[in-house]
Amino acid sequence: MRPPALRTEALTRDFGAIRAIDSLSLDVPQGTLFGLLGPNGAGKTTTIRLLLALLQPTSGRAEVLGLDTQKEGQQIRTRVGALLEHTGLYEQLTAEENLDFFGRVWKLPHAARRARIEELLREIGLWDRRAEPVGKWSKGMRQRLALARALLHHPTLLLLDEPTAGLDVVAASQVREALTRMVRHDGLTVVLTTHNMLEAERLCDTLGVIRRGRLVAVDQPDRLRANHAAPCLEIRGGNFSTSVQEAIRLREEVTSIDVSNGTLTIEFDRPIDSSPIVRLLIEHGASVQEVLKRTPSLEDVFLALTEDEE
Amino acid sequence: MSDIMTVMRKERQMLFRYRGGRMRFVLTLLSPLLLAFYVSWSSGVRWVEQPVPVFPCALVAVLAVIIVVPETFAGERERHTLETLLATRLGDASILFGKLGLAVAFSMILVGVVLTLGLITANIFHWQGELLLYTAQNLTVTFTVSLLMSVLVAAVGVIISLGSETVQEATQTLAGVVLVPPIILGMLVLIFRRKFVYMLMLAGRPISGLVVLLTFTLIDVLLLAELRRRFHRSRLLLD
Repeated sequence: MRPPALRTEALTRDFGAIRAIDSLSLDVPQGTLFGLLGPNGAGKTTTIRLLLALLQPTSGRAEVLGLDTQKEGQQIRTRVGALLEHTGLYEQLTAEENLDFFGRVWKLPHAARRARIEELLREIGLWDRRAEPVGKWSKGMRQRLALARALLHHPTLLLLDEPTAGLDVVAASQVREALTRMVRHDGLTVVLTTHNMLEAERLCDTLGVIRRGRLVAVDQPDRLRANHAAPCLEIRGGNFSTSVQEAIRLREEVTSIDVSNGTLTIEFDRPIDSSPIVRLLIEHGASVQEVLKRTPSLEDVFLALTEDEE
Repeated sequence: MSDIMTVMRKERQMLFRYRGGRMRFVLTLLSPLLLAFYVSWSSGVRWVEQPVPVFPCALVAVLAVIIVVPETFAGERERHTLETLLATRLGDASILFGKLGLAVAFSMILVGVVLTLGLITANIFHWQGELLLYTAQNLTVTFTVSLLMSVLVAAVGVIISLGSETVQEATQTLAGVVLVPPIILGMLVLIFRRKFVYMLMLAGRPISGLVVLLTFTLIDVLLLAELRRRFHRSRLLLD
């Protein structure tokens, strides 16, 4: 069995009195796409810095590609590609000069470097603009170039901090397709942070939700939805009187009720069968025109998990 | 070593490459060129035979480093490129000495320009029927003193740049730090005039010059060691 691409054990990092990462334990198998979700200041960027051995943990440990972050930081950085919070491109240099510098950093031989730069610039659609200083480019173009830079040396693990931030819909979709292709066909492992729930759901095999430095849930997106957010019924109709609402509220699985614009919204704390609810409504004189069983979205899960902590 | 060269190459590519950069480069060259012209023109044959170029060359080396070195880390931090650079496979020493090396190399190129222009000026205005050339001792002393001064200021400058948020902050701090020793020296000269003349006479002896050079070398080595000790990726990100 292959070792995990990434493993942390009770990883903790303090900045003075502030605990940025709190006992983070995580396993990411090789060849998968792992997403780290969390609000601003949750500790996503600090986690990536710890994995790249740019920061040392206060306690606990982390292994990246089987290498200890506290002892083998340089070997880790040799094998990992990273796109961090900022693109990290040199704006005075052209796209080609930027990639050439990083190609030299990773000791790609001259011919291989030239070929790889052309291949990547063509793939991201920026070959014709290779001689322009990147400072004149849009944020989306720079983000694409930064992603190309992260891939330049054929890394086995990619750490991406908000990879599609600032990209338009088409460019973001292209990046997602490229990442999926690299994971499925080339066996690359990708760990990314994102605020985009749709992206996380579509892209990631596994998601971790982090809040105040603590990992509050890790699972596949559909299982996260099933286990961590309340199902909901939206019933369109009329005569949702106080007595009707009282009757519904008496059921133990019901957590909240709301009536607005002729729609009764009922939230539950567990998966439910809608027919007893509809029957109860009709028995109490309500008219039911349409019943919609709403599956909780990842955003609902995210909000539920992060609000629980308050 | 190749990693240091890679960093130096990138630093060179970025040197003066911004709006108005060419003009700033010309202005940077203007003062050393004028200085070289004036001093070599006024001192004549002494420019090549005696250690007259030492002071202008050391001054030019220091000024060149002051222009370049604040950018090293404060510039990367200001442009949000530092973290990506640190996330590469480059070792600490390669990043550090690549950046420091470019500052020193730039200053030594300017010293070379000063010496060349001075030589041309001396030959044109003080022609004595044969080509005037620097004595080996003069050239060695000039290059050594300039190099030692350059490394000294570059090391101090990188230490300041490591702890600065912006290039402006680093430049202002470095300028302040570099001005302090000459001011103190000037005050001491004014206070102890007679003793200073005696010290100058002593310094004229080769053994005293050697002691001064060795002292500067020791200071440079200690500063570089301190710089290496201070340079840690994690500390840079916390700044």
